[in-house]
Amino acid sequence: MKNLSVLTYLLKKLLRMVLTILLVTTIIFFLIRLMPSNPIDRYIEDQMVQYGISYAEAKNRAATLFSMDLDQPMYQQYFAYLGNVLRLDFGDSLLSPGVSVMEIIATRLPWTLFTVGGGLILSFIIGIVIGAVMAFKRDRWYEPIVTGIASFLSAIPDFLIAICLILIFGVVRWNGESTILPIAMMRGTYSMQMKPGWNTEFVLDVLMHGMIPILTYMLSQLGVWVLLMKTCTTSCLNTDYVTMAKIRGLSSGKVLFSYIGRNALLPITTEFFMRLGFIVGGALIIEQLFVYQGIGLELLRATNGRDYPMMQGIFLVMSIAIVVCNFLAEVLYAVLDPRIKAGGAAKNGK
Amino acid sequence: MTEKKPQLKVDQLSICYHTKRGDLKAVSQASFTIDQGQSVALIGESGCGKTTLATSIVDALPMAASVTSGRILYYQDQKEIDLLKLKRKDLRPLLWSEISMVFQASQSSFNPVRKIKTQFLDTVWAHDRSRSKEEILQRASELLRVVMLDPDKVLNAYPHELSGGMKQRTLIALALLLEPKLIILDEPTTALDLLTQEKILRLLKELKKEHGFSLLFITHDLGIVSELADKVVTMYAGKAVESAPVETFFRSAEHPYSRGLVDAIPRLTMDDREIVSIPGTPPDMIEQEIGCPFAPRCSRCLPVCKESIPESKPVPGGENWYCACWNPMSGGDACGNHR
Repeated sequence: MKNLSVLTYLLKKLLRMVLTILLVTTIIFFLIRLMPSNPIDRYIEDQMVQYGISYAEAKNRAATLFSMDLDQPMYQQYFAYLGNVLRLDFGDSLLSPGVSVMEIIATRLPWTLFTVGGGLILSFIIGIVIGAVMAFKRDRWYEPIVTGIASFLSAIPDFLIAICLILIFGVVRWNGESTILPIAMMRGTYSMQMKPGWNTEFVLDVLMHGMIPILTYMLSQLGVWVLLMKTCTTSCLNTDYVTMAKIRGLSSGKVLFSYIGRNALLPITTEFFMRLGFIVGGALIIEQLFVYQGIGLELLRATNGRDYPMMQGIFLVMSIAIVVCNFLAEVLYAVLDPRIKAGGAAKNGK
Repeated sequence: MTEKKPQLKVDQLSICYHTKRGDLKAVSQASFTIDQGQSVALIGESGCGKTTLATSIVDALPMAASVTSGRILYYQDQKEIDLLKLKRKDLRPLLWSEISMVFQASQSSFNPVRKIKTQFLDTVWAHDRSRSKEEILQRASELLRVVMLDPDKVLNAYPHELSGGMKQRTLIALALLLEPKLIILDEPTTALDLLTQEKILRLLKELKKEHGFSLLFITHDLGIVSELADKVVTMYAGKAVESAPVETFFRSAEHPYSRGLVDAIPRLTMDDREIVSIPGTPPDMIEQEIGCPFAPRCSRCLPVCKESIPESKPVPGGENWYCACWNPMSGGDACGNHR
């Protein structure tokens, strides 16, 4: 009986997720076609400017290059696209003819997951530790300073942090001779002369290149975790069950982990999983600033060239990630907090 | 009355809250004794420092409060221990195994994300790692049956699955788990309906008879006092103004404030105009004036009352009866002793 209700809950959820993704896909399909210009015009313009050829000639080239017929009515294009997606065919990139969209995503996505995900996890771990400590040291002189810095970090946009880091590490010559890091060498995901592979040299090189982007993401997220953890811990500290646990003579370690930590982490875990969904989207501006070959940079390129299939592919992967992570957050919350039962959620969630 | 060995002695205890306006003296030089097996009621208006005093015994004062002077002496096998001088690690073994407390807010006294069972186990294992799970659960089940709950259901439930009265009774069972010598009950029945209240009182009485622990309970309800207490300590503005055996308290309380509380009880035989309330409001605890804090509201106020604070003295002719008043109800005795 219990298993059955969990099963129906999961099925309902799954159906809803599929519907959400379908809706998002549809909206994106039409939105990107509503943008001014289209891939063929862009290509023709490009050719005319670059090679100084006539419009007719450029259009001829474009026609041989693009297999896509943009003169079809939009709904026909839409259903053709949907049909292809159901067959897991996401088409080829227009800007890199002959290369499938998924192939490009597969090569770009790991880099973004590495940097944005790494930054998120680092900021999460450091943030909750600092936040918890600050909750206990509320009466110390340094607490307002730390909280102030955290508020500041969470308020400024990430690209500003990135620019500051570039200035600090790569532009200003602190000792008058050289910068702290050879920032110009650190563009991209790894050095040109490197051969990808699982060897120390390559891993170190990748870490070197990913270092500043990861630091940027970490700093831009850190403040939020510190503030959130501090608030949650403080409110847990003042609860009756924590006082009661102390009166019951439980050891301070037990009180800290089973009573304070366990309860303080509830809302934070949810927040973490929801943010996890967003890492697939990357951070466009930062990847552009560091010329980091991640999914964000690819999306930027695709948007500039109106590479419809590429954009659709990236947005689809992004929306799937977000929907799935939200679902995970919900399930995890029900597992962690007995007050929210999966069965109850199914009843309320309809 | 049972044997007269003390279990807990509160001696000249003062507790301050540090607020933005200045120090708030929530408890000032309060003294009273709880004998072994005795049940002491702590009464007084809201905000007079009852709960603060009780939480200081188990070292659970809020961060802003601290004990400024006095001692809390606990007697363990003839040994006198000053609880306030103990380090946390030395106090911890005493908590719950010697002194347990049922909180005013028992509705949220359990960790919401863990089963009741786990919280019973945690409590025992914090004091005695050697006891087996089965043994503890066995004992817990017995106690839960005593408080008229279904052990299997309660132990496997999460706190939110229990009703308010069930949580209260579960907490009482938990308080008895390690067979403490002293149980502190902070308004144990305020959140409950009259029937459950009655049930719990009867239960406490029986349990006390059976286990022989001492009881310190805080209440506003003089009905409960008459049912459960052996001794009544009246607090006013942080001071223990009177300490009297329960019959004496109801028959002839010496302090005008205690008398005022007794007079404010509605009785079946009187019409409602006869209920006498105490005029005025409790004093500001931060900017305390010199003299007896009750003086501005007292009908028996003398000039001396506004000049100096009366000390707690034995009431002539009374046993275990102390009162801090310049002009007590029985007449000029204490007054005449002065100057």
